[in-house]
Amino acid sequence: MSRIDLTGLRVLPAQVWGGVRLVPLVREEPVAGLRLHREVYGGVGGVGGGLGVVDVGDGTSYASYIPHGFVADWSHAENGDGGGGGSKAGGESAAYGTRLGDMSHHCVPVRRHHRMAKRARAKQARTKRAESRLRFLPLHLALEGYLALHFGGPSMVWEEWSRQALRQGLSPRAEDAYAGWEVRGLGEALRVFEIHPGQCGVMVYAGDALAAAFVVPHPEDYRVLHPTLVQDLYGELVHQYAWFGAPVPEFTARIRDTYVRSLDGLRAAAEEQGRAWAAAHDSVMARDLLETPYAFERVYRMGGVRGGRRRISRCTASCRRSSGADGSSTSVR
Amino acid sequence: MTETYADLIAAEDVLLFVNSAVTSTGQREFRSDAYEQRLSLAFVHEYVRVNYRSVYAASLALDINDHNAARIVTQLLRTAGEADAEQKRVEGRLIAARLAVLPPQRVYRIFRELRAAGVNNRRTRAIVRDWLAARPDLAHDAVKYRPGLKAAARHAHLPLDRGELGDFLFAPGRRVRYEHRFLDAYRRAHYEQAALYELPFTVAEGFAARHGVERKVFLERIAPRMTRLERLRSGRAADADLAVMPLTRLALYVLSLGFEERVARRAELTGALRAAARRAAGPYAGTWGRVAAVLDDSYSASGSGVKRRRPLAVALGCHFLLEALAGSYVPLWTSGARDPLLVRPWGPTPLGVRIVDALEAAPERLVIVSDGWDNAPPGLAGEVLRVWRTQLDQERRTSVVHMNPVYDAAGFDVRRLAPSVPTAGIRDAEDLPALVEIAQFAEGRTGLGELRAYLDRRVELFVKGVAV
Repeated sequence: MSRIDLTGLRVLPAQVWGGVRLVPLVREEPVAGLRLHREVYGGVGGVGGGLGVVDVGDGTSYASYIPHGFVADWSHAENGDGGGGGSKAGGESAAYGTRLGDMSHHCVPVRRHHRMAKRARAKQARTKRAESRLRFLPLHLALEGYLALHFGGPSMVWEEWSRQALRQGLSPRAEDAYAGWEVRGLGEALRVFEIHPGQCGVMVYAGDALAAAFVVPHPEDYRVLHPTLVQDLYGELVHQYAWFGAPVPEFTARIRDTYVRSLDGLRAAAEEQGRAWAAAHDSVMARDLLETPYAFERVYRMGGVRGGRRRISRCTASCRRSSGADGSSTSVR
Repeated sequence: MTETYADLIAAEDVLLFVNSAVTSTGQREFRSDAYEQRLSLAFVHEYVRVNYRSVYAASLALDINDHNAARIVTQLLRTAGEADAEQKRVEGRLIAARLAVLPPQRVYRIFRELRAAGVNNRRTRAIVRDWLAARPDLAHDAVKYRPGLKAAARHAHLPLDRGELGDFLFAPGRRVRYEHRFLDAYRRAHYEQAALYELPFTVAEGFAARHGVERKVFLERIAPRMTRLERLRSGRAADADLAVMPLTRLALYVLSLGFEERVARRAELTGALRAAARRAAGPYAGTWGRVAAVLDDSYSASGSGVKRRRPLAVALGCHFLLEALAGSYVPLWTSGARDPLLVRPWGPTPLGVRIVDALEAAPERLVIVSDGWDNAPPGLAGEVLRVWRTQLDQERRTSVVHMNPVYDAAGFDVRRLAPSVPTAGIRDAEDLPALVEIAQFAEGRTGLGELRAYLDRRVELFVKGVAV
């Protein structure tokens, strides 16, 4: 696997608000037996809200703003209820907004996390079933990969660089990241966005540069996770495009009336407009995302799902940063 | 040529103003906040007042909302110097007629605004005097709108200070007891719990809090003294209330209920909605022939925190009204919903496709109720309507009209679907027949002369209707 594709996802007409364009992605059928929930860690946006430290495993700690983690839950499949059709009867999912763990902080609350992706265990390990859940930190998983790939040394032996590194240490390098609510217009665009029935994902463009692609297995999960886009991290370019960019033009339907002779013809022409947009999006707007080869790295393999195993993998733009985006994302497939 | 061109622009401006005055209430909408709405509205008011003062005054006779009516009244009184004697005479009659139908709290607010703005000419004082003289019971106002009445009396130099009403307002300690039951109840309510149930609900509420009366007990006992809206808001609406409630208010009430309750009370609610629609349709019932409607129940129909589900309620009201008006009727909700009682604001707005569906029924009239944000895909509704008009229906067998419940602050008008389709703002579904009439002017085929004649007719009816 070296590319991202949108198999199983249908592109529907974008909704534009100012400089932000949101492209809904719709699944005909939700992914069977897999759900994604959200664990809320910190207060929204406030000072100290969502500050977390992750023990990465090799004695290193990673401290960052971590507002939430996701919980991938495949217990539906193992329990045989299989459909993922909305009933939560079989799975142990935290209700939306549940704060897990003790929250008795007196000063700046810092949460300790163990590993970026970790199999969730129930507090009282009475049932085996609790283990069919995986807690992971989506953004930081991606960011970790991004740091490893782009903040290391050069990929070839370069004597001058080595000498310099030995003498003075690795040269510092700084990048800025912005939370979603700092990206101008994004919060408002997400608020007025009208979620389609069956929508499982969205692609966010700021100034028509790809800012994020976010896909979940089930429409109900998407409905709950839609506002989390405003808490995610975005690269500096995204912020700048949104700040300085003018409102982007809407794709507007155009029907060539000379060929329309009946109402059926009109209907066909109207439907053709939807397809034209989807094709234009895939070939022009999402081209960067879909045609760039990415480095994939498997982080975790979720066991025993009917109809194929699933894995959390991380993909990172291996050769260059895609414009605007921070070049990395995490996917559940 | 230049004159007709100016006329065209004038007609457009007038319609634009009527649309904004019908829809915008200066409150937050789904896509713009209160500040944007107010800023935009203030500009439109000033623009029309300066350029078309007589039209500005005449719009008081139309079905504009109370917020804008109040604003027009204050603006007219504040800028009296710009009007000549004849204009002032017409304005005076219109203002008096409009104040008579405005809710009293709005009128007291207008008086307070006039006072704050330092408007105190002879005409203003006469308007205040006449309005107060027409109030059925000033003692009731003195209790319920005490600061308002006090300010108005003081500002207009009214001789209220003789008699017990004056004492009640300006020298509360002077009398030991009052003759009028409201005034006396207000005095006794300070120390006697039983007296507060003789007072209007809003006044009694304060006393109840002071006496520490339990909310449930209080609501139970004060119920007979509540107004109809207060009963509705406190969830104590009786069947009798539903039977007399206006259509849009009823639709809002229905949408505020949960799905289970709507299902459980289906017969009752549907019956009330149908009855209200028949009342609103009046003599026009069943005269509209084959009608198709495209009704917007997309997520944006949820309105805002201050105008909860207003666009959806308007659509629901229009649904039942059109059902009453039409001979045969095809309703199409954008989400594909079939059951009008269970609509909810949800999903995108694929107006274009729905309009094609509606046109398939070959209706004589097509009514579109939507905020005009067509987004799946954007602009398709306009294209469909354009192609329909230019290619498939050149003989105009179908008349299309777009009703828009949301004011677009950035565009200074309600949002249009296509230039060829007349668009009118709508606030209450029951105004639909009158608004459709106005919307015909927006097609660009009727000029300013006809529009002025229409306005004059409405003004005449309005002033007479109130005087009778």
